[in-house]
Amino acid sequence: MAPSHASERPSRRALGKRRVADRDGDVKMGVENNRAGVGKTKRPPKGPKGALNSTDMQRKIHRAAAGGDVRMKGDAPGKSSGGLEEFKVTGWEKSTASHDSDGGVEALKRWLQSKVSRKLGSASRKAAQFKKSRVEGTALYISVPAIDAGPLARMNGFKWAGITLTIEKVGGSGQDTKLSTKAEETKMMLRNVLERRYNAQTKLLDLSALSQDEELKAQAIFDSNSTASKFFPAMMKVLELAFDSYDELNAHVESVSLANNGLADLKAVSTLSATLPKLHNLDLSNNNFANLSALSLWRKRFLHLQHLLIGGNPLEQNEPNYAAELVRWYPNLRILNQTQVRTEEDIKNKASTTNLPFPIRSPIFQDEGQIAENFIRQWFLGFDTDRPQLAQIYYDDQSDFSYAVNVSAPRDPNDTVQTEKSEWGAYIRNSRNLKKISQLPARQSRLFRGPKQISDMFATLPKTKHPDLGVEARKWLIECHVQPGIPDPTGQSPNGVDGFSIYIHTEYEELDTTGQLTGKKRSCDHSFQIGPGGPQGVRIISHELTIRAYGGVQAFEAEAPPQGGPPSPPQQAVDVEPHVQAGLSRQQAEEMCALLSQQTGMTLPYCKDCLDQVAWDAQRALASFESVKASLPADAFVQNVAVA
Amino acid sequence: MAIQLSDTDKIRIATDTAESFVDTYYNALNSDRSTLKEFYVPKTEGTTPERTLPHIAYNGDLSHDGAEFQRKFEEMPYTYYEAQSVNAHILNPCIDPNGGKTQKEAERNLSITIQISGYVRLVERKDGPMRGFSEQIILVPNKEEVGGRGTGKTGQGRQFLIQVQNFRYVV
Repeated sequence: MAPSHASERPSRRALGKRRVADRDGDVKMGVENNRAGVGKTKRPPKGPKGALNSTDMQRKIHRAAAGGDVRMKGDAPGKSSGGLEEFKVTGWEKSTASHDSDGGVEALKRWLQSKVSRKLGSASRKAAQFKKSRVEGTALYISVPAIDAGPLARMNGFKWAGITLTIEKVGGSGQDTKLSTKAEETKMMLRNVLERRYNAQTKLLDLSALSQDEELKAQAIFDSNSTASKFFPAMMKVLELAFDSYDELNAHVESVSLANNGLADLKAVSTLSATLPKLHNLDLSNNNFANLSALSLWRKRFLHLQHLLIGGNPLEQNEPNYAAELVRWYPNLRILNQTQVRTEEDIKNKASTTNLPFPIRSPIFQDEGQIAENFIRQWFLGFDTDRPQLAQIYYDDQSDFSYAVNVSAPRDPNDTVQTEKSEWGAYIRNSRNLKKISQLPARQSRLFRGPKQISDMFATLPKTKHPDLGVEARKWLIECHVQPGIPDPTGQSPNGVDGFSIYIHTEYEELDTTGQLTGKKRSCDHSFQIGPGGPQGVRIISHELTIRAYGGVQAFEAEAPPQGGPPSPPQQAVDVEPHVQAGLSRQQAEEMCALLSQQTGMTLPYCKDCLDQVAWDAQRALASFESVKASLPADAFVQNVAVA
Repeated sequence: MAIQLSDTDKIRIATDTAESFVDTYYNALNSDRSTLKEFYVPKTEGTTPERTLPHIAYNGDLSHDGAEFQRKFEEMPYTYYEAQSVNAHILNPCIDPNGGKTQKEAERNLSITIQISGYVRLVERKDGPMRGFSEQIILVPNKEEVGGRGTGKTGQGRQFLIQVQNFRYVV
């Protein structure tokens, strides 16, 4: 690719810049013109709305749109052997490169290759290679695969190194490759239009001012509304056919300009949202949209849209709230008419729940004597390195294990983890998702009990590598609390014993059988119920595991301080009486106690306790009394005193 | 002496109870919040503050009272909880060594642990933010006689109540 064509600008910057004449055969595709026009959108004279009334044309377009079976990636293969087609290039011998040792042949070939490679739909492919070439006198013969034949043929008449090249197909009629039908002719014309208007570097497809397009004018496309309405879907069809897949297409066209098309609504161009649903940048400026309902066809389409230009439309005056509304339509929109409407931070916090009840707070971890902590360290180490031993240590004959796969769990919003066919192949056989497994025998056979069954079960799961608990703490969310009523296998405590419930949310990477990372990452949720027993002092009573698509770690970061505000500083000066801290003298304190006693009937010591707890606020003391009086013992009250 | 339930019975009770619980509980979260407190065991102080039940941990917010949790949850805007995956085990097959004298009583003398994975749509239908969640529930039998704390509509009390709940957004 010639360096002078390289553009470092992000594609979205290319939006809103009007492309100037691109019909000169210069394959620079308007890059230099764009550069000159940074940020300036000149409003060209509006063309006649619609054009083209030839019924012949209408028919052709109809057929083009319907004829998806016709190959468009190159011309139909001609008389060629081995799938290659031969072209004769002449005129180059007088070029300014002719002083090169080889008369400029290599330079010419490189240039042609780069041009053919940059053509629409071939951007992802390796640069075109001219497999065979030879020079006979003043003619360069090159052979190209059928797929590159069309682009090469269309370069006939292009300028290179100061001269005009003639490129003809050998044994054919050069650029005027015979087309079998008029439909193909139309397709070829539309493809020409698209190629002229596509910039591979900026990934911009410039469909602005279509009615001013000389080639379309020549076909009288816009002479009538009805034909114009067929034209755009046909062009989208041709665009789709030019790429190997939708993914390819969407990867190589990020920006579309429909500026200066006199559009009053989106009916004629609505198919754009189906063809390019992942568009990042869209220019609709200088059209004739009177209000937002004129755009309603694309409401909630283009979910990836980041940048929208809508200036120069009557709706700006007619709908004072149009901007806020459009921001709502497009959840990823960052820039509207050069104005930032969302920051990257906003997008990131889109799913924020900070302002709702139950914002994400730091984990509740109520361990005792590091029992739960040690268990967690040992379990995950064991699962990654020695599952049979792990099963022996922590599971006994009464231990239950099962797992469920949530195949449709939400995925990491910040990532594009690829899913594959039979994504859950290794897991689904024993998944015990009760939503899917409704028969009792299946539920029974997917519950594993005892070290042997559980160890065998573990062996069927892919090898794993969990993140390090210390170094990668942010990839873990662990909660734990004392759990009463855990069955005691020794029978010493028939009413059950205290154990722990442990809830762990984390992720792991899968390893293949040789221990190499496969690149597959999953998220998982563990629930352990543990009690005393076993060789390590801890036995698992119940272990449930959910495995789901990788969901990221953003939900593990606290959005709000721990419950009850930030941790209060340690109580200092414990010997200072609370009433002193509240700024009261002993006498004032005694008076408050007496008053509270009169109001509540509580004894003075209870009144003092009560006031201590509410920092000697008389109102709060009364409220506190009201909330607990039902549960106060009889001796809290002064005998024979009627409560006011 | 308490009756020993068969493994099949235990699995049937655990999974059936889990399914009907998940249906009614998420429905209450979505559209019947005034009934939420009825899903929880009555508050009982433990020997240490950590042992107070019920234990309701919701995104790191701890409540020890179903009514208190209901009050907090009634502040939530629109929610739509969808349980995509549910699993359940018996935790303790015989809670009261002196109970469970008949098959029917034995089926009400056990605790169940339920794991749920799903998503919740918040604030507004379709377009509101969506979070993935993971939830663990431990159910114990309702010791109060059937009908004692009835739901009113059916005249029947709940057979199982939430003793422990641990909810987390995970995506």
